Amino acid sequence: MIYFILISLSISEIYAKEKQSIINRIIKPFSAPTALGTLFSLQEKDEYAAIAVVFTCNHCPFANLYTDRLNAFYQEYLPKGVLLIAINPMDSVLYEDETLSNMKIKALKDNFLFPYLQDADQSIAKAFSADFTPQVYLLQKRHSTWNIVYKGIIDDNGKSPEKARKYLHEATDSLILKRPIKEQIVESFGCKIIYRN
Amino acid sequence: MRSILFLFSCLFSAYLSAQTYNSLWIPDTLSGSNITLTIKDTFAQLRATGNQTITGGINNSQFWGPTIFINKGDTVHMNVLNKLNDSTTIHWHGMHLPAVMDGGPHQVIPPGTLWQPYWKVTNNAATYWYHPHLHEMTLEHLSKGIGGFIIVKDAEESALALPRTYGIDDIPLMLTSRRYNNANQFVVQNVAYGDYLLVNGTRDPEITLPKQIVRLRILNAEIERAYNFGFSDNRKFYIIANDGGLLDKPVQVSKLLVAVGERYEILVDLSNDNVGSSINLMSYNANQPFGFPGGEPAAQGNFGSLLNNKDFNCLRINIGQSTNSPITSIPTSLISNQFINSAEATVNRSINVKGGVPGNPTPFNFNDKVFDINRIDNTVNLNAIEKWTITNSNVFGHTFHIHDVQFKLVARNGNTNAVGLHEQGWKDVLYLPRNENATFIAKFDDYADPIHPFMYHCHFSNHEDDGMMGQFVVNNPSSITDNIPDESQYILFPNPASDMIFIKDTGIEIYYITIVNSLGKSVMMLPQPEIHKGISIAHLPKGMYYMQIMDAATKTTITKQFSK
Repeated sequence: MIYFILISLSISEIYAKEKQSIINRIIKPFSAPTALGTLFSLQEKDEYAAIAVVFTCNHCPFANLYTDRLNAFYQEYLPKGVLLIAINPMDSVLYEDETLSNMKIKALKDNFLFPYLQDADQSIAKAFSADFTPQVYLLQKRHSTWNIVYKGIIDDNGKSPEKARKYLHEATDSLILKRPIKEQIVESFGCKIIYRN
Repeated sequence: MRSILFLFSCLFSAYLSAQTYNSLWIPDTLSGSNITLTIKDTFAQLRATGNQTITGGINNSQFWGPTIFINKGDTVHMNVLNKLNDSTTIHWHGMHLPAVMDGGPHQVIPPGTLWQPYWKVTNNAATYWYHPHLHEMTLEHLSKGIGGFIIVKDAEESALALPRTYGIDDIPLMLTSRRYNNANQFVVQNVAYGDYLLVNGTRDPEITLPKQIVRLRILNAEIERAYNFGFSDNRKFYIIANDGGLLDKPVQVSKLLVAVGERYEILVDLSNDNVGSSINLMSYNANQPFGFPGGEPAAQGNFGSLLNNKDFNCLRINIGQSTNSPITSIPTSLISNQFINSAEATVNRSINVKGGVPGNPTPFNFNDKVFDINRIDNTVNLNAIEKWTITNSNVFGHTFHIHDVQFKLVARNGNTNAVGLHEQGWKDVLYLPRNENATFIAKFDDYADPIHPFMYHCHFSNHEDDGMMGQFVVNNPSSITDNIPDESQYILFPNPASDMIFIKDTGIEIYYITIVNSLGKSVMMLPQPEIHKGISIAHLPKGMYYMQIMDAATKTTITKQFSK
């Protein structure tokens, strides 16, 4: 029992530290090429109140379960002033499946409604401290800065969306309604992002 | 009082009958001389409810890969494609093969790279396995379920009247357990034991087996836990094979201790059971002596587990109709093993378990040396017969595994009579209880390589990752050093190439070829390639490539360019 308490405490401490380090972090403006050949620039998205940034990739089978849900989120929340973008942080030199040309094939095949950005030098993922695909961050527009207000999972059941608790929806709804987000850090998992250096 | 007992009995019976089981998954099979394993990220529904667990699959599997059938005497070519977004290795556990093909920590396969080892199978018919062996990552990769069985067949085994219809009366059982976090993901840090048993990746498994003699191939693929197997009705069963081959004759037992990495094949006689009845394959792990892996009483924490110090069910066996050609008797004898005579050993080595003492930061290790991938700990001469004594004057039990060879356990605590009847055959893993030592002899033949080492290590993956591992090279003292080849001696043709590329045979023996694309990323790794057959590059995209060629004599690498 003592062990259990110690472990619980240490896990709580880890989350407290992560929360302190992640939540409210300012994400500096970035720009990156999209799979369809355009350039996405955060600086040009001032019209949105929030942006859901999903780190995902081409090859990860667990991340691939979420395509339809991301499209649905995009359609549901865009009219509410929330944009969804996806970023591929995988090292495309190491992993050929993740090249920009393969991202284009995937975006067209899966009918991505949202921009699918390539983080070629992994600098955007590093700025977020992203760990896995899929992993989602919710950015809130505060005057002239974008701040992280949620880091975690999209929902808690990859294969059975109907059974899932929709963490990203909950956080986004709270933000829109100007209520506190109950769970700002939710443990994520998936395919590990391997950083080049 | 009697009525209370009756009520309790009824409730307990109701509980038992309400227990639901899942059909034991039997891995797919691969056979032939050309085997392809594609390792990839995937996920599996391992818990009854909630989210899926991130796992590692091989080919079409989600947790543990296909069973590979190979024949003694055949040359097998493995095509291991790493589609993980992480480097890994695949070790052919128990196989006798060149060190450069062995898949230990030195044969790192980067993501997207095809590794093509091959070797002539000289192992006896038995149950072997393959699994990752990347230093400091073995526990994590093994936890994902990357691995599978290798079943070697040979003429001697085939001539015996033994069950061998895979999945029907010859059943592979890979036992392991996992701990999950709140999101149903594997816990891989500070964990020695899982809380939930998985047999072939199936939780609460059941199988219907025919009313006849059946064969179970048991592999302990745990992190640390040992299993003390027996049946719920305490019936006797028969051990017929150890890690590296059949025993001389079946050994009748009612309990069998299987430690991490060990394999045992057993025969179980179901011919007197009623069709429709059931028995359980159990592990009787309660009240084991201190140091038994999994005997610790705690239910949580680094060394605790919900399965610790308990007797628990491993497999529900339902009795079904017999097959058309059932095996109906236990053989009285199996094969005539020709073991090495202890007196032939010319070198004695002592390996002592050190470190791991609570409060001391030095991890478990051998001879006070934590593993260093750049340090060769032992040099063994080609064809030497050596006697190794592993001593564990330490705080806990371990298992000891050595690559390259199958050994003969000749003594425990210096006593030749103390070697268990169940461990009389060829082995590559031994259980080493605390305050004991074990002695084996082995012959290190066929494969000398002065730079590429074989490993020996504790097969507890957490101990191995922490440095309880050493490495030895097999040296051929009579080998001669050649002149360093120059660039002009390697001629690639055709260049540009399409499906195949060749190297003109100028008499230089090639040790290793790595093909690198124009971005500097390795795409193919070919240990000791059969260059007269050419190299298939059909799967590579068009572009410029660099072939890094290392010769066998001087280990000098020369790079040649080609295009496709």
